[in-house]
Amino acid sequence: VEVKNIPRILHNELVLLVALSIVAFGVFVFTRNMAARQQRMEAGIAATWYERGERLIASGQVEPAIQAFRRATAESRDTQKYVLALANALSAGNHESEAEDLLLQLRESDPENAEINIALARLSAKQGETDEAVRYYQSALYGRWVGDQVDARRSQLREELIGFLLQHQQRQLASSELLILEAGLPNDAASHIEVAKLFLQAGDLRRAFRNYSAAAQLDLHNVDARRGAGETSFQLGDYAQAVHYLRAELELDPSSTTSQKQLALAERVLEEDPLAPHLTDQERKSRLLADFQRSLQRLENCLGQTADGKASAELQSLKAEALAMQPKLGRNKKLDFDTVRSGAGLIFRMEEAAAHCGEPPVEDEALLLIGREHKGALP
Amino acid sequence: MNTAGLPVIQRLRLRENHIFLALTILIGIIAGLAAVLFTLAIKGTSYLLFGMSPSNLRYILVPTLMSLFTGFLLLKFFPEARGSGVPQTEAAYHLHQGNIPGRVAFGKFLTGALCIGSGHSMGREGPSVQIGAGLASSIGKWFNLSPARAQSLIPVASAAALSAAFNTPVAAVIFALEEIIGDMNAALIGSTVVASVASVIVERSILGNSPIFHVPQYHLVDPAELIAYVVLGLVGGVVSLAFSKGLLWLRGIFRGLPQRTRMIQPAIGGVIIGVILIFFPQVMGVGYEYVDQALNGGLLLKTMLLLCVAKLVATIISYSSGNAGGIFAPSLYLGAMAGGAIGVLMHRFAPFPTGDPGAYALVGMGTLFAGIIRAPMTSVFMIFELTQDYQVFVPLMIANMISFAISKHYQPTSLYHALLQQDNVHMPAPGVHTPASNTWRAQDLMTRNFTLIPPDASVETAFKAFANNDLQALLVGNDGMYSGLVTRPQIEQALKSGMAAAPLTVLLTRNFSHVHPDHSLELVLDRLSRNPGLLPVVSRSEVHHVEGTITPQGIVEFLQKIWDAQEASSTPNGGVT
Repeated sequence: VEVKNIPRILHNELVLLVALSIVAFGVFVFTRNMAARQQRMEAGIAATWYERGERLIASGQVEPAIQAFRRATAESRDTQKYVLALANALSAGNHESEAEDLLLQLRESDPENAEINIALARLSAKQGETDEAVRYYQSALYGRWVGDQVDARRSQLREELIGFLLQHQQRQLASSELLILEAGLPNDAASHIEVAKLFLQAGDLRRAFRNYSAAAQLDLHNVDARRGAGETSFQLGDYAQAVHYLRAELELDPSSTTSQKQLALAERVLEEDPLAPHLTDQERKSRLLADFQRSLQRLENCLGQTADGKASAELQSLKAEALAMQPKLGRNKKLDFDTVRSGAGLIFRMEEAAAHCGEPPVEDEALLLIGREHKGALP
Repeated sequence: MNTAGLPVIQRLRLRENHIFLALTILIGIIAGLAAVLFTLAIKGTSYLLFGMSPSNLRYILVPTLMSLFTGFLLLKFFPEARGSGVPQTEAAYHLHQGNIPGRVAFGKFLTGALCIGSGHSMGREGPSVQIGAGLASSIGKWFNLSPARAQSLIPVASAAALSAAFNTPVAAVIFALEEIIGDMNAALIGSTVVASVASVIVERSILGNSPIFHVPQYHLVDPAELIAYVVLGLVGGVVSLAFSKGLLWLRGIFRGLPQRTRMIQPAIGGVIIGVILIFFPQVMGVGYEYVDQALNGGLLLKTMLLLCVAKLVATIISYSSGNAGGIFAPSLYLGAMAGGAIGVLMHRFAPFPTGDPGAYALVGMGTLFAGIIRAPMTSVFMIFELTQDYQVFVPLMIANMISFAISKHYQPTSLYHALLQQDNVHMPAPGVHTPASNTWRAQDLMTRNFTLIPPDASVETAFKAFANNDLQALLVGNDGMYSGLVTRPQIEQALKSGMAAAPLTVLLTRNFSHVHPDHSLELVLDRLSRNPGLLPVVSRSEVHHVEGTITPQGIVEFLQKIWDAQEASSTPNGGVT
């Protein structure tokens, strides 16, 4: 019986196996389609939660935004954008520890990702961990960027880092980053102005001026560029440049009283400096005499107001020195350059000594600036 | 292999081996597909029923109405589909030679997807195991496999289903051996491995290679940290015990309610779950997304503690009220929350350096699994497969064993077996039940010729029944189902007291031992010595169903027959005179 049945058994079993395999394949295709459909649906739901979270965070509702981002990450946990948004929201909601854990996990799988490093940098900055923040900022700057306008975004981040460094008194590091930033600047006035401001904060007046003047050249109607160039050149003691840029600024914005005052001062410095180059002897002598009389007058006025013995004695001594110098500066005397230098030096000392007697008038302020400008050359 | 020269029987046997191997692979694929489809069905149902931002009313209505519907289905069409599915699969393997009715797989799929998808706090792994096993059983019947082969398809399909449902193929094999077969040395290991691998390939080709959890890298920061894992083991044991005891207690209450309420019991659970969901929507369904957050330090201490309590209560209610869904996922959820909370506390207060709370959540998952499911080896391999890091072994084993020991000490019967016992099904205890093949079993010693006296019969009727024999006790019950027994001295005393007309129910003794047909002679003698001269032999799948009785006289007669036969066969004429 068994021998007779073998072909039938074989036949039946084979048919069953083949039929089952076909059914299994059909179910496989069906399940795969269902899974793909569900994954698309989940992705859609996750995107909706993400957008909701973005809207909530934009309107300042941090905790509901965190919940929305949590839902987005629960639906699509492999989407880095959602996890990053959640981490940023957690950080904004003062859940720094949780945010840090999330970000560190993300970084573990993608250590060169700029976005993750930026988020970590900002979080570390918020927590006051300066070294960590700088490390993450730099990892971000030299990491992998995706999306549009990479250069512009990278520059913005570098600016953010520089601002952070300046805030934490790390001027040297800030200057290094500024030089890199400057080297890659796009050719537009706004960028140069931004960088100039950062150079100013870093105390680098020369590079600040360079960028302001570059901005002024790129945009002839840019008031900020002209004002910045004027102010920085004034601070650098380049009064001719200052006059040039401040006048140009006031042409566009005549209402700026600060610039007006600065321009007036710069013009006086240029007009009253006895040590300025390319002056005739007559002109030099004339300036020296006028300045001398002016500062002596200020000294005498101050002497009348000073009751303090020590200060008074210093002023008396300077007055005596001035009176002794006066004959040498006679109208008919020819002045050699040493006498001019000595006279200018005395003028500067008298103005400085009288500084405690209140805000100097613009003429005396100009003399003080002249003295400071030539301080190294004065006896 | 050339089989032409082999005898017909051997060739058939060989062919059956080949078919079984092909079936193993095919069942692995089919069980895997069923598990993946089940997962998709749960998610789809959940999206469909709840949407993105459900209102409070919807939170209450969805589980309530859906449980009303599934309650009807479970009562009328799929009574075997209630609960997890793992105990039923174990019972099918051990007690019914792997026979699972064809409707069970479909019923479990339907009711499981509806119950879990409608917010009940239950897991998908247990139902997947039952669905896979049900399909395998049906396929085995179509192929007309031998009973032993058909039986062995059950653990094969269970491993495949779990492998696809939880994406841990090795742990799935261990689970099939440890929990379903109850024997880590089972010969079926090769088949379960094949099916598990086939299943996980199918699962990954559909859902991708992404792990079920994003698991943090595990670090044991300091050797002293092992103390923290001892604490975790203790806490895990207590939580496991609270869960098991609570579940059995509440299920007992639900089962004690009148039979007519069976259909609405799941809906009662649905209402309570709805209220819990309003406050803790995170306990809805499987909840693996929140386990993932606990593993990755995404939850605060207070949140984890609250979720641990809420999940425990919600799962007990969902399961006890008779809904379809498992406890595999809830035990992992509880472990992640309890472990994460312990991790945070250790991080703050321990006098030694400790790892991230996520590491504790991870070990906590294994710890609670070991305590509740009582499958410690599965637990260890499961966590190892999730982390793929050997460092986790020592802390995991410490915490697991403590949790397992506490749970076992205070709840000697495992939860799955205790649930079966509530359903009057007695599973054989692994390792002790199977007598050696050359020893006699209760089924050899029992007599099927026994008397059941109806409970409403009078004392006098029982006295008359005793008069016809020298039995010391009689079983009381109807239609092969007993409800207790009465003893000869009880009846004689009652007659003397003038209670001849009283019904037997007033004298009924319910506190006595029984044996199952597969129990050994030693166990029979031991239990018989505790009973009043009568030992009922009852079915494992329905402990009130009497298959026979054993008396001391019966044993003596049986042994006498054996000895007589042996004596006859040892005579010089070979027993023929």
